[in-house]
Amino acid sequence: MRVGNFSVEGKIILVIIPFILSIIFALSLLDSHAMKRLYSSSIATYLDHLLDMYIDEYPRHLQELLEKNGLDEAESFVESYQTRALQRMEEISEGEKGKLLVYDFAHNTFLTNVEEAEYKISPEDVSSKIVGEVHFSERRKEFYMIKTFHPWSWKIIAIASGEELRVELQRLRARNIIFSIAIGIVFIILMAYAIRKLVITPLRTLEDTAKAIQTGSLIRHIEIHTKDELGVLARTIEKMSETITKQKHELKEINSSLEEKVKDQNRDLITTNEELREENNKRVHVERDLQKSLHEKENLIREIHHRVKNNLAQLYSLVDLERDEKKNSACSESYQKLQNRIDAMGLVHSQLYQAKSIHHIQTGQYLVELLSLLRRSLHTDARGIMIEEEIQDIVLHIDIIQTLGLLVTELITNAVKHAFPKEEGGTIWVVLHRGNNNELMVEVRDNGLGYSEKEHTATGDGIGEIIISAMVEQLDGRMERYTDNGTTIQIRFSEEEDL
Amino acid sequence: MKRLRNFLLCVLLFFTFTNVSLYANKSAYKILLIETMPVPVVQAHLQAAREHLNTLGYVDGDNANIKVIKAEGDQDRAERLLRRDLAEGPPDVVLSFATLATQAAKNVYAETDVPLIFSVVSDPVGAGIVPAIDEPTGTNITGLVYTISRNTKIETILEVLRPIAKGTPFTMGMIHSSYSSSSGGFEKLNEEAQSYDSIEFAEHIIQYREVPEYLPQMLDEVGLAVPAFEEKVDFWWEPTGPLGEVEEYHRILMRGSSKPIVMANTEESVKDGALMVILPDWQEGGREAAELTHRVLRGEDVSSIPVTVPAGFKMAINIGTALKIGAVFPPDILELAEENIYHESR
Repeated sequence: MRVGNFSVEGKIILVIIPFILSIIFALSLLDSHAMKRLYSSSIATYLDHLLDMYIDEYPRHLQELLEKNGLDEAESFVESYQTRALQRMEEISEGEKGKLLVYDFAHNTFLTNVEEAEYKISPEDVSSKIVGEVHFSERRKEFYMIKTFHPWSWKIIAIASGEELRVELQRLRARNIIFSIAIGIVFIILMAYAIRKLVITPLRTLEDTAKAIQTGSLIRHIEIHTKDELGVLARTIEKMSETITKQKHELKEINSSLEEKVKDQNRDLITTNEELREENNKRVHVERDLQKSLHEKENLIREIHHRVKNNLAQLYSLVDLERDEKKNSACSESYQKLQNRIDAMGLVHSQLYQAKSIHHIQTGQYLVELLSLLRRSLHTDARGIMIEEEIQDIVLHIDIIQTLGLLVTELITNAVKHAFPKEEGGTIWVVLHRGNNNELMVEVRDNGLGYSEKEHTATGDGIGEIIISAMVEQLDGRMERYTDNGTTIQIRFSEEEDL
Repeated sequence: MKRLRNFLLCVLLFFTFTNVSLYANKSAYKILLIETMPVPVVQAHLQAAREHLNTLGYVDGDNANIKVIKAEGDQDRAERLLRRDLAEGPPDVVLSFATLATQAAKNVYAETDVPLIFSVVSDPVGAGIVPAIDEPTGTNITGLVYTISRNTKIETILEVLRPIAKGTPFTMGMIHSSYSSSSGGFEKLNEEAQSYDSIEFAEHIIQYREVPEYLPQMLDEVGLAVPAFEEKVDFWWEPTGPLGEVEEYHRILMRGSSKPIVMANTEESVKDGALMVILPDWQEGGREAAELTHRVLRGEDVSSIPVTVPAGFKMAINIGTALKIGAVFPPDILELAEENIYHESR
């Protein structure tokens, strides 16, 4: 069981009980200490009390009774009353409260039936000892005190053993402890009652009130009329309840107003939404029409590409027929170059027709296929010329790729013709890649004759050079040509689609 | 506090009006008192009872008609007067004082349901009035026994005489009349004394005659009996009944004998020299009789009320006599006697 689960009352009592018990314990300790300290003085008090009690109850009372009735001189009465007093004293001596001896100092004799030797108190002792003080018998380890009752010439000796006194003190201490515990219990009960009456009951009333407020009730009056903190709290809760009720009413009105506004706005939103939906539908229809139109255009372009390719193929065939007719003339080579150029252009339209895009072509596929066509048309294999390619696959616009295709066709045609004139064979490398600055670089390199040797022959074919220069210019590029164990031509240009 | 005060006030008013209405319902209670003879004990009881009835709200001439009949020691006269009264209408209650009046009332009202309450009757069982003490009678009679326990008297006197004990029993002499409570009282006392080794009783009986008419004759006979009887006794013990109630009786004993009276029947006797007396308190006895009357008038069944011994008693002692004979009153008797302690002895 956790203390946190206890009620407030339980917690308060839980605090009070150890507090009270601690006080009782402390008082008991103090009492015990005081008892020890007062032990010796208690002996004197005890014996003094015993003697006073006895003398008052018997000799003095009887003497006063005799005096009152004029019998204090009547021997028979006095003797009888003295005998009664002595009898009573012997009864006390036989009991547990202590022993009493009576000494008649007028006749120097003990009146009580005791052995003088037993107590070692002689008539001289009785006469010499100071009255009212505690004396100690070493032999019997007993304390005694003497008091005098003059009307009867009596000296009364009260004797008590240390053990008897100890028992008496323990009894007193036990009584004190029991009394303290009883007081403590009563105090705890009273405290518990007071706490319940003054704190717990008002708290429970407040708790019930709070629950009532929680369920929405309006509490105008709480049955707590005190002017302490609980009373102030009760009044505050009453005001709080009124305020909550008032605010709830206001909130309800605001909610109603807001609901109306939201309903109005919802109506506007629904209207706007409907309008947007209609607009969207219109746009969808337009877009669909546009897509349809675009698709039709693409198909049309593809068809155009297809027709261009077919036209170029027919042109190629026509040139081929012409070339066959003039097979052994000097024009045959020119026809061949023309056919290569038509192939380069036709290959572009062929690939555009088949590609997804109608404006762009993959360079890898295009150039590889172009080189393959050139190998066949230029009979490079038969002449022992290898064409190696290092083509980076780049997507280029149709205008660039077509220019590039013509450029490469011219450069390879030139290389085959001028770099390897003696049919000795060799290798042509075609390289295309994009540089760091996004610049494209086309390189056609051979390991044939150098530039100076072929320059002469090159000038004999001026159309190729014109085409090359025109293409470079069209690409807005720059061309570098140098000889080092063959000829290397590099053309660099930027990719600009507005060519 | 205010609520409590109001509540107590309401309770007080309720009981006040209840009592008023109780008395108002009855036009007047008829209460009949009958005394045996004009001796102090009877007259003191009767007067105390009347006063207490008044205190209880029974006011003669107002809501109560209180009538006193005096038997003058004559039972026939008592019965005659009671019958005459009964003929006028039965009383609501009869309160009788002493044995003779009670016997007369018992005879007269035996066949009626008139409640009879007796007082100052020392031996109602011996006189044939009730079958037992401390029990309800089951009849229309109940009352208060005028007596102190006999063994109390015996033990007290033995304690006082202890200093002069002689080793043989003390002989207590009693001269009494043949009046029923006197004879019955002696018999019971003698019977009780059998339980003690140190006391015995001797009697001399005188024929009872009506009091006060024939009282002098009875006292003369007492005076004649004393010298002859004195030799047989150590001390005198006064009887209950008519002789013991008159002062002249103990004076005759004191004049005619040197032996002291150790147990008197009246305080007057102690005052004149008797050693001591223990007797029911007259005032208290009268009040208790009035209380019984009140209970019966309020409707309590008289047959269910037990015959009881009065709670109050008083003691008177004479120290002078004690000193003279060597007796010693123990401290408790000195304290109990309190203001009834006398010093002059004869």
